[in-house]
Amino acid sequence: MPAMAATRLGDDVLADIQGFITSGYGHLSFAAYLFVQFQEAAPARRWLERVTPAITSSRAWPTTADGKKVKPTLACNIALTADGLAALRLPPKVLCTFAVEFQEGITREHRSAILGDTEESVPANWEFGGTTGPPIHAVVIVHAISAAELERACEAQRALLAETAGGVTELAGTLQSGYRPDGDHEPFGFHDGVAQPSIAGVTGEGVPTGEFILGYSNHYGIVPPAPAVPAEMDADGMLPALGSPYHVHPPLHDLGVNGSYVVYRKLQQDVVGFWQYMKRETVRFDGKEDAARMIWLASRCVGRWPSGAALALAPLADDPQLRDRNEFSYRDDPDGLACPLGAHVHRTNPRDDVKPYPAAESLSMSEAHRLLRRARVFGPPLFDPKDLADPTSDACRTALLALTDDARARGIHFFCVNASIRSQFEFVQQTWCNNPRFGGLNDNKDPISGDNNRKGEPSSHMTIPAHPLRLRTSALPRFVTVKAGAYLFMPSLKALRFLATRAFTG
Amino acid sequence: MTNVAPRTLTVLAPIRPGEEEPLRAVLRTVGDDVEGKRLEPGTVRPGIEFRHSRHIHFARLVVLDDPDRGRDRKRLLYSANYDGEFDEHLAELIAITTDPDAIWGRLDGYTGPAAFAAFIRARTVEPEAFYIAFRDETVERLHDAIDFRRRAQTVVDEASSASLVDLVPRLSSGAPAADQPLPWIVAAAARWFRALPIVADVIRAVARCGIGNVFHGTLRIITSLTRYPLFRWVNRLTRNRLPPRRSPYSSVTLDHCTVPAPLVPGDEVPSGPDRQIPPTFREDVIAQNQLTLVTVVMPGQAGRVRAVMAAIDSYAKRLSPPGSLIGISTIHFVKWFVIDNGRRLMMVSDYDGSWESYIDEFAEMILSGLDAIWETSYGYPPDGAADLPAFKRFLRSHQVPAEIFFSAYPEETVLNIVNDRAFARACAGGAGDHIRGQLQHG
Repeated sequence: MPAMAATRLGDDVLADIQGFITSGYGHLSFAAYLFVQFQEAAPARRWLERVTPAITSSRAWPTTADGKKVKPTLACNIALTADGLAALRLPPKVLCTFAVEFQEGITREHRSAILGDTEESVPANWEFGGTTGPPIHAVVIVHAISAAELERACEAQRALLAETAGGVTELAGTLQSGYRPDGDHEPFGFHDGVAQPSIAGVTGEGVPTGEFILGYSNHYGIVPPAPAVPAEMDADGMLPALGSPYHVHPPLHDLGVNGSYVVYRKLQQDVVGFWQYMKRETVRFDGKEDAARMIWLASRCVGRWPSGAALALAPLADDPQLRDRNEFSYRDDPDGLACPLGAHVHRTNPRDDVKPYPAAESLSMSEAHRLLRRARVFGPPLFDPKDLADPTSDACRTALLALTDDARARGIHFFCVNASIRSQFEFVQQTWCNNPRFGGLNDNKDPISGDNNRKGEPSSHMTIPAHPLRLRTSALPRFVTVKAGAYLFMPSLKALRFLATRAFTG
Repeated sequence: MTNVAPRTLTVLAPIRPGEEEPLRAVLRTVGDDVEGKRLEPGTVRPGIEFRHSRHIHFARLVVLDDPDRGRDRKRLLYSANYDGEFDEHLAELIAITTDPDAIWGRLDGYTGPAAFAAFIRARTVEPEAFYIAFRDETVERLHDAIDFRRRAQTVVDEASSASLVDLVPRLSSGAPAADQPLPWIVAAAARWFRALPIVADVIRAVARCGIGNVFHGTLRIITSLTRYPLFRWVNRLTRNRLPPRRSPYSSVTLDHCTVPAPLVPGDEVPSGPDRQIPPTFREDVIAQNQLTLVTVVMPGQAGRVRAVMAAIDSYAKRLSPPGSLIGISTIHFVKWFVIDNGRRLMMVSDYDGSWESYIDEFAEMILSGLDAIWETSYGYPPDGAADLPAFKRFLRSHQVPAEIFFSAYPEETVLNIVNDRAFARACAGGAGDHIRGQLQHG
């Protein structure tokens, strides 16, 4: 039986949940993503069977005699697309029980329209996973403590692929690697990953487990619908029986429990374009180039200072001591004079300020649309983000004013874990980031992740409340381009073994 | 300037057998190009040029099932919210219709433009409940406020703190006339005066629907409205609380591929050329959308539904502040109709933002109200709207896409209008402090 949201998940349950769902693997700085395609069902299932024993679960890390945690040096996880499940010959009647958005995939035209995957981000232009290349069937996600360890793990994975003799192939040229930079600065130079929700079932408090893991009670106190298989397909009971009293004829087994949905987006960041825009706008506002003012403006767009300190806590200047402080509200800042309403962090988690609702209802609405982010950076930094620490320093001036393009691609591999892609990832992107009228704003989409500069639409401008006159930037270009993407299902270990060992005749 | 609230005209007219597809084809052409942007200039556009209207806030044309007339029969819903008198609206509708026969000519009983008014009048249905976000705003005034805000944006863009002194008089002289806030005592008296007819509303509702329906229907609505002290007190006194959930699991179907099937004869399910794709995205534009929903009321429950509607209508007319229906601020207009001699309930709304956020806000703000409205319809989830996935499935499977959806201010949300009104009012009032306060964010 599923545990209630507030109670902690037992060890047996944690051992069934892939580690990627409950851990960001903060100590494993290096990551690689292997995208594969199933050419034939039987060898693909054999490959799954071979991969599964090495999959990292959420089981608590062992401790030494003196109480120290023994952290793993390597973590390996796997997720599949709907195309991949179909290629494993999962029958249509089972595929139909997966969420519609997962079945359709990320690249459908009407999906692209609401996600803002248009113009330069259109899936036809993607490096992989788009509408032109071969489909992604699965991704193997490897996190390692060192580059050498990562290399070894990737070689091992490739050896497993080779064993299938062409039954499972790596999508040519799509091996992606990422890393966690010192100080966790994303390529624009901002400390990232501060506002991570905690899972109530894992930490004992936080967002209800069912928002991130299938089979548990969510924000609304509901165990949401999840994929299921007819009991006769699982005669020896590898999967638990579905607990729902509404779906007992025919009897079903729960394929979803302890699994989750995962969204992948390769987001390329135009770092030069970003800072040049800030320079242009500060010159337009003040008539002169000023690195400190550029940082001020960029921070107004992000909602945090480069150190990670929230504008709501440090409205006037960066304060590195507040870099990891995530407890704040917008209660004392109704007009956005500290943190603009249109800023990225305000939109993606409006906290107590979903306009015009009261604080309690706002907090509740925000909690229903949280995401667990699992990102790694790719590409070398264009400048040392530490240079931004002192905006008046020469290092900072040199870094920002003399920034030149080195023609290298950089950005983040964005992964997020959510129990409902539709009401979490897509909701945030559509209703909050891409909404030019968010909270009563005028023509102001998310300056970082909104679909700005879209053909046939009014231009979007960042509005920054200020005394005595608000500032409004000129038309926002897109600083972030989507280069690849996928909607994935990350099964429980039991479900993985089920998928690997049951021959499907559909 | 008028102080008369916008009116609604809603017409249900049977489509002649065999004319459904040609009618849809005509409507689609208009619907695809309702803002006059997509078709090549000079292309023949049979139908209605809504963008030439000056008094229509929102309008839609929807093809609905007409099960009482026969299995394959359809009917056309025309529903508009407009300023001014009924006759003026009809005159405008005729004036912007370029080819009346192409649309109205395909409907039963239409004999020609000469008898159009009589034709429409005979097929009009009246709402049981009608909420208007801004009862004192006409299309013209809203356009003035939007234009003024746009002009002011440019002025402020070009201004600097040094020119603040010039800015205030410039904005103040350019502002459209706006009602100034009344002294608080007058405003309070006006609120009481507006609320007084509630007594008559209650008497009328009891006479029409019976005291039991009015009492229990109203209690059902307010069960979850505990943030209002009055309702909290009534709930405590009457021991009125949400029934315990039957199961922690959602009752929603696990099969997401099959198109919803009608549960009872005449159960409206999404029909028409879009039926192949789930209706999730059909109308999910960022700024504004329409929702047309038809459900079948269980036998013997029409009185209860009408009582619930009477309570909502009375609240909307007598108590709701501008831009907010029991705290929900994403609705421009919403109407409910009990049609077909009490057999069906039809909801017609014009709302802001994505479908998901609209429904989520309802569930957050007025959960028990949703139950009160739809629990007497077939197909309602056993755990009500608290089972949000099942409730959303219920709505989607009874939602009908519009062939044409027109908005006079498609980029304005209710919140934008609230802001624009405040800005215009501050500027028209000429008080420097108010204007300066607005200039810090706006």
